[in-house]
Amino acid sequence: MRLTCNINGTQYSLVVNSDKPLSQILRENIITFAENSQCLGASCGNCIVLINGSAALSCLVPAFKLNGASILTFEGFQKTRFCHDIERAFADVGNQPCPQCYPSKTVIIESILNKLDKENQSRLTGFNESSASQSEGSAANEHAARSRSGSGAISTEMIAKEMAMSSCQCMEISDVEKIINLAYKYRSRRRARRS
Amino acid sequence: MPEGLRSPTVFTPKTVSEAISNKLRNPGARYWAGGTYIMSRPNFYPNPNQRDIISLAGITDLSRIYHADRYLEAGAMVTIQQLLTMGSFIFSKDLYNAINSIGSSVVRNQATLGGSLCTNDMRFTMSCLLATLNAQVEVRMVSRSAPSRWIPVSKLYDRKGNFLFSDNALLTKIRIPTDNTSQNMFIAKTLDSPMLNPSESVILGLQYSVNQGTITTPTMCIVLPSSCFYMSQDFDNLLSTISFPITRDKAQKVARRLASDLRMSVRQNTDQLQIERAVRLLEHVLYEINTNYLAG
Amino acid sequence: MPEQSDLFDLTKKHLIGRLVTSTVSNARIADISMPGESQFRHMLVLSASDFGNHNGIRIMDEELPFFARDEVCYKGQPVLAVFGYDSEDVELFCKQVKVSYQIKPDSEDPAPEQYGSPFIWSYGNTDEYFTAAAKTFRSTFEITPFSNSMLGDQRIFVVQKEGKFNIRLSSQWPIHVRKSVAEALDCPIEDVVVHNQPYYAPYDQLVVFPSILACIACMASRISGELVQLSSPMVSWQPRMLIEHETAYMQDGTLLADRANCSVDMGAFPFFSSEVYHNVLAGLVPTYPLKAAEVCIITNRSSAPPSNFFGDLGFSMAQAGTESHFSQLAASIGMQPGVWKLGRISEIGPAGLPLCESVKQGADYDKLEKSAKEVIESSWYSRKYAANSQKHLIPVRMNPAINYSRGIGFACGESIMGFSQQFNASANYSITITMNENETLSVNTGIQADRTMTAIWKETIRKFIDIPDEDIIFVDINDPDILDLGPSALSRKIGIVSALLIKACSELARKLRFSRLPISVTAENEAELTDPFYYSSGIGAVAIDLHIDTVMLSPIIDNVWVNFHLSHVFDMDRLLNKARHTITAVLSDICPRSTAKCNIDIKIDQDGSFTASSLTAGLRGLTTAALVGALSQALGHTIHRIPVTSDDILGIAILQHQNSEGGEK
Repeated sequence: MRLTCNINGTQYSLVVNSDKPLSQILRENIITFAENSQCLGASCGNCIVLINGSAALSCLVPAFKLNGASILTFEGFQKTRFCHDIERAFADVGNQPCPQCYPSKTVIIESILNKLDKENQSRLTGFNESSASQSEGSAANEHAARSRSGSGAISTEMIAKEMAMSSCQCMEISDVEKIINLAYKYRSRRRARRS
Repeated sequence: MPEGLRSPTVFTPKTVSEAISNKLRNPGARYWAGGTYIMSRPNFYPNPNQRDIISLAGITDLSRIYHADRYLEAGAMVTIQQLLTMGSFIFSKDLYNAINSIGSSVVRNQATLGGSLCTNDMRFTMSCLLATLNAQVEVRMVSRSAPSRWIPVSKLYDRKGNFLFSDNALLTKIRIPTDNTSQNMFIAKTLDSPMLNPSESVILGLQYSVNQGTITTPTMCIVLPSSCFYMSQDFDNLLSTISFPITRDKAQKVARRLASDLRMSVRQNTDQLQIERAVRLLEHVLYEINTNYLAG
Repeated sequence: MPEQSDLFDLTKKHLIGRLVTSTVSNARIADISMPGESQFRHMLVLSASDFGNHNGIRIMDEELPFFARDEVCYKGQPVLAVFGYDSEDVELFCKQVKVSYQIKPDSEDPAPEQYGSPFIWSYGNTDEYFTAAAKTFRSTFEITPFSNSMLGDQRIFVVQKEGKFNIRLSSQWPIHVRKSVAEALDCPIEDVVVHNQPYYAPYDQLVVFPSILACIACMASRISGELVQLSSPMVSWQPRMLIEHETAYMQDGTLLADRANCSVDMGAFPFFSSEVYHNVLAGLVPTYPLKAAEVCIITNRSSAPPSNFFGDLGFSMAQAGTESHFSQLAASIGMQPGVWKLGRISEIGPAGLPLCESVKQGADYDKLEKSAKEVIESSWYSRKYAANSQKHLIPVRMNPAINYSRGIGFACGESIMGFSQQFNASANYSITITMNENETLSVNTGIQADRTMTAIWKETIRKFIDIPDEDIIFVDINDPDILDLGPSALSRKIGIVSALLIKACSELARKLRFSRLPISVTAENEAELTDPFYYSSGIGAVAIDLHIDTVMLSPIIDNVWVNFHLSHVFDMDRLLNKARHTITAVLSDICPRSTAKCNIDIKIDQDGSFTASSLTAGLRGLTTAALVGALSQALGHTIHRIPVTSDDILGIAILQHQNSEGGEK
């Protein structure tokens, strides 16, 4: 099949098998020297990319789902200022991922920051409680309470869960939490300065 | 195009009927939901024997989710993350957390309800959770008349965890009861990673209520991803004889019964560690229930 | 050198290669059948016959073949390499290649056989002390092989330009790549240019295998005339080691003598075995006051894959075994291991430890005592050890209701690095520095220095010679005059290079006063074979506390405390990161799937001197020993073998339950 998509800002038109995983397309059709680990389905987490802004394991996305998609690999993400926020946070906390999983952990942190953004935006736009039926003690009550409190923060357990996508355990969760909070702060400040 | 490799044809039906007739015309093709399980198998690609694909992503009927008075009905192509978002208003905290613990948000954004239930030889967390909640699924048979029927999730699998409908049915909807969430307690625990370590992980789901110091109407499901899907009316009856406080003897008696049941139910070559973990998990859950009850 | 993007133009059609590897070990190759030509065209298949008599790389006196010729020695050994223009075609072709084997009569997994002569070392008269001893204590410690297969692929690119092979790869020994290619393809070494890329190899998986892949890829490039890409999964194998210690001591606990035996399974192709002896020796010699010691080390050849260095050549595992032995000894005489060890270290007087220092010299034992005290205090070791011991009165600990499975472990000792002095002496190591006429300084150390290393060496040089940083040039690895100091795995921070650099710089500074430029100075290693094997000032202590998850039956590490002393730290943040990564890697290697959501507290201090010191090998050994100690206490059962899996813990739980039956249930 012919696949047309945007990878790291460059438009590509490729002839690939319809079931070819994106990770192999990046490695073999978009030929670069970039090293992405090939665990061949063992979910190492090292192939994570951003597809249309959302993090995805590229080894689990087939070619036929990618027509018209915008894909950002770590090599592309590294050039953006969003990545610089995270790198700055690594330096300030004094801990960073090992070189093997640096790309994947950076992208996972970026996806957590995106999630924080969305949560905080829903807090700012107001939580539409009346239109949804809530049962007592439901998760929504807790969710709403957290949003109302203005924390917008993601829990340590959730961070551990997200980071568990990368099989390498080189970073302590407490440090990751600090890095995420710092990176979010830098991003919010820059956004505030621009507006 | 590589000389030794055929590119599978991808069918993109827009309705369920079209999907079924695609399958009838191409019996060798397979239904493709999120693809997370299929693509994580070893030797998925390149494979010269790759089957044609009937992608269900274009069927809008299968991506609908709505909440009626007594149940939440989701199409088979609803992702786990979408279920979570909708369910945050409806599900109990424990159920929400149990679904939220599946993989990570990256995986949940891609994995679908239908896909999670229909994996051929492995059972994962959604099957356990939905079976515990007595959820039902609508199954359309792959035939000219394409009759549909609703069956409990627990009837989709045999004791060894094999999917009973294989290639001759299409799962279209899932109905999760929500009318008794306030009265029932729900516990779900997952040990280890079912996807990464299916031969050692354990998933337990337990729904129950408490009446006059006794566990009533319990429904328990234990899943050992690569070897067992265990639900038993007899065992549920045993649980319903438990009254508080739960002593160590009672807990161990129940645990021993589970151990012997599991040994008879699992596939060959199941690791003893996995059975031991399931038994310990149940004991732990009973102590937790006991603590919660005594704490009021 | 031309730009890499010009040389390796991947947008053009090029050959992509994969290896076909054996699925069995210790077998003869009976037949190889390829898929039909009609299915696949334009495939290039390489085998041992394409290399004639040069089917292998040489490492010192030992050889490692590219391909199995008639026999496979280990599972995973390359049999063929397949190249084609399409990666899917190549992969399918590889899957359809059918290799049939005839397992040798002595089975697929024969018992290991001894390789070379045993290495025996002794100090003092152990027989005399063993005769005089009141008691002896014996223990064994086994490291069973474990592999890490999640290391990804390594990719090598080769293109010929103007008669030269240009090789793009990541290698810890790029000079060996050049030599091996030159030898295998019978071409001058000047015609082999290596573009070495930054790498991360915590298991030293890039020491030897890149040379093999490079030779295969170069042969393919020579035959086809095309740009070639060859990729292969990286795997690392920890060698099996069995360590036995027997210590003689007096009634009052005074240590007298220690005997240690160790066997190391080097796999199907042992190499660097002489250094293995020295490295393991350094780990087996205890850091406690002993009057005599005797060590016997044998290396074996087996049908396992060739073992990897894992950052050192057996020192850390040997040290873990030694520390574990002395923890058990202390426990056997009713003492807290950490407190007992601190007591022994405190007994080290101004005379030092002559026995220990005859093997590894340079450590300051006052600093060791300080590190050990700080770790014991900050971890509340004594209180926790006592509290955990009380709970051992409960016969069945790992109960899902109430968990009594907590443990705390402690270890202390030195760290070493690099090849031994004896290896350096026998290999005639030297470095050369040249002050050129244009007042730039060329430094030839034989090592491809990274940013940190060049910065350290420049700092060292500037202490003796007044010269700006930009005028100090390190000889490129492709220079014809480059020296070979061995793989950077063990050489990069080799103390001998720093010492030689200081020697050369001080000599050059002297000559600058009266000689004309250019001036060249070579500093040679003058180490005698009677010198200590290693010289390093790195020394420290580690404590770990953990509990057992009674449902998962796996350890949960709660806290790790580390206190280390080094001579000079150039980049503290980087070192702390490296230390953290080393600790988490060890924890997940020894206890697979243990949740490493622990708190790691690392303190490193330095005295600023420019002597050799290193952290990694010692940290690996001490973390292993502390973890084993903590696990032993938590499980109430001495751990004699690592890694420790949930199956092992289940076995211990069942044993405890069986022992308690008849008593409390």
